Amino acid sequence: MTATRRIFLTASILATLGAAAAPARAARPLATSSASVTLTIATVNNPDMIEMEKLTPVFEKQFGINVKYDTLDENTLRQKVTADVATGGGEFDLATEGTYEIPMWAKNGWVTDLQPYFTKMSPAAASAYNVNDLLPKVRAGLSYKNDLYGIPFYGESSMTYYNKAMFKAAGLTMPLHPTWDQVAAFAKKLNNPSKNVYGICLRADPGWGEMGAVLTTVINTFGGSWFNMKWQPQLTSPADEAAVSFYINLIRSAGEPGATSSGFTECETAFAQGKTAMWVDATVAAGDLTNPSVSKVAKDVGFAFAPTKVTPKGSHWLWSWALAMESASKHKDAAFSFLTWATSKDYIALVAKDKGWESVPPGTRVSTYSNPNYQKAAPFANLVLQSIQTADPNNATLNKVPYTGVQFVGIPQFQSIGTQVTQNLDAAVTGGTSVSAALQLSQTQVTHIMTIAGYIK
Amino acid sequence: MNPSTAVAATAYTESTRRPRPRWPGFEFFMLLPALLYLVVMTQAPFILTLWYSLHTWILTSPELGKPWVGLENFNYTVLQDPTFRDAIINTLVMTVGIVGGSLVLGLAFALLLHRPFPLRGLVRSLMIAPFFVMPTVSAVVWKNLLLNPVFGLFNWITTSVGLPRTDWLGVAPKLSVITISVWEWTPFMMLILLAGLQGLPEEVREAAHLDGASGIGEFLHITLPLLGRYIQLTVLLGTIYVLQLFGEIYVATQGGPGTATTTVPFYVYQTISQSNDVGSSAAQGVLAVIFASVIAALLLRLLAGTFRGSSQ
Repeated sequence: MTATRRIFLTASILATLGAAAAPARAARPLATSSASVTLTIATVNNPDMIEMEKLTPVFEKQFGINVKYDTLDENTLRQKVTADVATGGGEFDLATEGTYEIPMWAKNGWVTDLQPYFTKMSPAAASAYNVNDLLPKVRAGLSYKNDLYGIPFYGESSMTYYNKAMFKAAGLTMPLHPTWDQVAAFAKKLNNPSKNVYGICLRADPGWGEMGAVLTTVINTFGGSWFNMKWQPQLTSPADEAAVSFYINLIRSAGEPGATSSGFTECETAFAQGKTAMWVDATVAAGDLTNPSVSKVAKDVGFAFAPTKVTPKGSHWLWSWALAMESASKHKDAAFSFLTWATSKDYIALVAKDKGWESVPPGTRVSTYSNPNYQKAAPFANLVLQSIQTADPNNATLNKVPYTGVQFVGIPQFQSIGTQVTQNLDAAVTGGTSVSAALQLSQTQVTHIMTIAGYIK
Repeated sequence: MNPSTAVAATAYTESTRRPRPRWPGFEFFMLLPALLYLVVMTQAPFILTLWYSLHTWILTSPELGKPWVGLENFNYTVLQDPTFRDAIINTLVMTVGIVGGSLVLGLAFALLLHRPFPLRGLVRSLMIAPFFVMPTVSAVVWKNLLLNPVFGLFNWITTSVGLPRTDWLGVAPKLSVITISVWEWTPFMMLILLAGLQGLPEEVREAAHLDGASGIGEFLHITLPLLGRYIQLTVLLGTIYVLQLFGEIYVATQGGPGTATTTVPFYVYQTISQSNDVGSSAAQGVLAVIFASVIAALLLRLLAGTFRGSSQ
């Protein structure tokens, strides 16, 4: 190789390496300038969040802060954000997380305490925002040691939906506070497989937040619980076994086929298409079910409280998707501006103007429920408000328990516990094993997990 | 010596006289940046995984720290974890089912497409189409439009003729996932086997006919042996890809019901995303690599003859 060629090759390799390194060096100075801050928000792909994305240009224009979204489905979101906060990656400034994660992450120091930011607000801004307008139970579910760590973007409980036309045709009436026995009797009467119409749709797809959520409320109201005060699993206790057997037998005898693939979306579709007479699930579905453009049964939807058995405690859940600020965020003040904008009364009015009052984020502010426009557009509003206000994560079981949470157990291991147990139970739903065998297997697995994690000494 | 011989001689002596690059010569340093990049990009993730598999690290329990546990994760996964055992068995069963099923169907369609008939080009394009549909998309279509017990097409057909309504994904989950994957992979097998068929010499078939071979006889004794190399190629390629099957399982059954369709790749995903357990999932990942390497080595050993042997 000639000398010229060698020189040329060396020079070009050095130039390429230099060019590759330059952007890394050039990017740093920009971070300190506050000329254009860009917030990165990780959010779940629920309709209310998608609406928030749609209205973000209003925020960008008002505050001069750019916003970038990473919209994901619930499982992927949880995975990505957990990895980000646990490793201190700082990829996101804000994330939508729920009443399950936020208290635990607050304890680990992964999300920022918002109390100092609220104290720093000017009196005018503080009274316009009015943090005391937030529903107290929802606010408590997002706090740690009485300090707010996440601001609720929407809140929900669970209730019973029923098809008024089917009930009338069969001569049945749904009471406002039904019991599970009554619901089971209705389901068996209205079950009509030959016409492809089923008595009830209940979630049975595996997952702690899927089947686990509804099943846990049934366990609670039957007087059972996940653990006793010594953190020993209670899955084979009489109350738990009765609750789980009831749930699975109801699905097998009068429930939808394909139960093990039926989650919130599938049951909502089945109900909206008139394929099922009853559905016990999240209150947030009420808006869609009464919307004639998406629901075939819009004018026949009836509402009742979630069914109870031995105790009303824990019979309906409390969940809120909230916006929280990651501790590793580099733009905390800008993030707080967005937090307070997206949860303010003005934002709710903005959504009402854009989509209509029945589509405003429910379950966050008392003022939403006392607004006559909302009352008129959402006939279910009072039932939902009462459900949210009577769902107490600190008092959701008949007997005392060492954990908080209505439809979940507020420990990090519950994600894998709930998913493993519901997967085992799915084998019983399809008839592969018996309920007691599935519960036995689950009891062994959960005991193992809790022992390794140090809860059981 | 004439000019061409001189040129040839010069070239020969130059090539024997030209010194090989001394290590580390200039050429080596020129290659170094690219070599380093290659090594880091391909090996670093695996080495990190190996490192994590020797520690315990649960993302959502920072109070447990990241202690060194040696081979404890491997010990638990191989000897004590019942789900991992199920995952290995499920992976083997489903891979054999998918590769076998698509091979048989692919061969059948290739034989049919080998004969000329009107619109053959169009039919061939349509038959190749399923291979280009993304796995998650085909799983969604199969799950919601075809296999759904309430709204699905298959149940509409069976109930119209009086048969009971079946929850395919609940009652026969492995079969359902195998069916979806066979639908996707048959075109792949068909394409390669069709190429093989079209490469078969006509004289051999004519000779067989003249000797009085029947259709089946011709197929068994002439076509199949001559296609041997192609069949073995498709089996090797298909197995390597199908071992990693994930999208269909994630969308259609989420590994359930129970652990009926939990395969090794899906179980690794579950461990890291549900339990947030970096140590265990890293150990499972390392074991999955070993498992796949063993299978690939076995297959290669079986097929080694093909690649060395002479064929048409």
